[in-house]
Amino acid sequence: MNTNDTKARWNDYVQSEIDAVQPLLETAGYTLDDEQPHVMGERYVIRAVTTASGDKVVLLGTDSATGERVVIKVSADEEGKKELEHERRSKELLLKLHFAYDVFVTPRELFFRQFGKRLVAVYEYIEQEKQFVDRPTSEQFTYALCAFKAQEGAHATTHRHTKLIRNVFETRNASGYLAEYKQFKETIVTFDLQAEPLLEEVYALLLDKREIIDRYGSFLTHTDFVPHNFRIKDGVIYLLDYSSLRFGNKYEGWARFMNFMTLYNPELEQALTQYVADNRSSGEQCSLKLMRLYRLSEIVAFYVGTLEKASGSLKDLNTARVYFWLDVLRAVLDDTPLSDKVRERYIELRDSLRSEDEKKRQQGLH
Amino acid sequence: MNILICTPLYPPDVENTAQYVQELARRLAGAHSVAVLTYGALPEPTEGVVLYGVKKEQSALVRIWRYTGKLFALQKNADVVVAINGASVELPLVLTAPFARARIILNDVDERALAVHRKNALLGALHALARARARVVCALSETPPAKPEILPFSPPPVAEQAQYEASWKAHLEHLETLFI
Repeated sequence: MNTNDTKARWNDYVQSEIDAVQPLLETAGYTLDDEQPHVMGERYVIRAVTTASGDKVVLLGTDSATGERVVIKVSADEEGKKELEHERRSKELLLKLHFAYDVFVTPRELFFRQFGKRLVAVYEYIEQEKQFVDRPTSEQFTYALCAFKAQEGAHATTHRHTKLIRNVFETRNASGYLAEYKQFKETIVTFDLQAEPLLEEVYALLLDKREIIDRYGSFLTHTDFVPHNFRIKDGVIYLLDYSSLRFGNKYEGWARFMNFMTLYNPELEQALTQYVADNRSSGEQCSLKLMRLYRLSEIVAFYVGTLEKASGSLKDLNTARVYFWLDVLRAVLDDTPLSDKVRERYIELRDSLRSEDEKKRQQGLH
Repeated sequence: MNILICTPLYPPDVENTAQYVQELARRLAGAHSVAVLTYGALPEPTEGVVLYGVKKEQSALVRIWRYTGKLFALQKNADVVVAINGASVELPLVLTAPFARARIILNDVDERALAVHRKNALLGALHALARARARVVCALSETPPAKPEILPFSPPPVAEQAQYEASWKAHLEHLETLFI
């Protein structure tokens, strides 16, 4: 299937969901916005690769009575509905965990109801004073550290803890990380055989240090902790996505965030690296590096996976992404910062290849 | 001197108690032979310290029983046993103390565990029994503060670090007097 087919199918799907849900929402007192940024741009490709768990649409709207903005999640797909219900159970359980010392603040749930075959969830929209990446780096650092410490506060170590979380949260140990890494490696090598020695080197390191992965395991970690999944209002961090929480290595969430910041704010990435070097043990530093390597391989494999569904500029862009993230992987493996030249070259290329729709979707995302 | 530290928490646990015990073990290891008995299969390696871990991923009864067995065996070679408060250490301590030749110091450093003892009569009674079995009880107020963090966008916490070091020096001097 080429880009046009995938995009057309996605647009049809979104429109059919909007058509179906609009009258239901009106009876419940909500109005949909005319423009829906969360379904635009490259969303169709991202969805095509990531929605093994199910289809769902995220829309923006307004409470007709109060005029307050809301976020609406809709799914008619069984797996998509399960994901929404799972997210709800995760929030509820997090509040009850006696071994979690600090929990995230979550936007208020305003509505959660089944309409025929559709599940509709409406949440309070958290209006930010400014976007995370527009804040001074020192502020970004403080917020990020605070969020990571909140995650580290939930450490499921005993039989009782495990029993409490096992039906709601996924748990992952070193064997799980290694098995998944092998799949990433296979995917990447089908695209670029030359990456194999680098990926082998990473695998050997992960295998050698698997005990370290397990030592810092069983912590609550948000596997997609990046600015578009949280918002800050009045100094409080609101977590938007609860479906990406699991109990695994404590640095998995750090790793995703720091890899993201390698591109968006390298100063923050370096500050977090320095913080771990200054305040945490050598084992923890190693654990962070291992998780960064694992998550970088995941992102490379992800973009390799998009290539068969993309064409034209998007295919060129995602190919550039594969090589950019492979460069980051090499740098992290060698404990060296990514060269500014590599980053700038990639950003220039990315901006020249991004569609107007995607540029619009990116506005306000981070 | 052979010192055995028995603790419910040790890194990778993140609680302040875990950090305190690791720091205590590391600092004592400069002058003594130090072993730590804790819960957790993979305690964080600490220079100069021998670590013994009892798996946490089993039912409470099984893990406390195993901990008790390990404590019984290890305390034979110890001159001093420093026990960190908390029911999962106090119960093994109460059971094994009558057979110990070592000097037992109960260190009431875990504030959270003390709060639980105050609310739960049974655990409160266990704590009282552990205090009775110990030769000395070291109070929470005598323990050093948490280690000051070095933050990238803030000036180095020079004064706090000096205070932290001084506090540890005083704490260790006090403990040394209790060891004899």
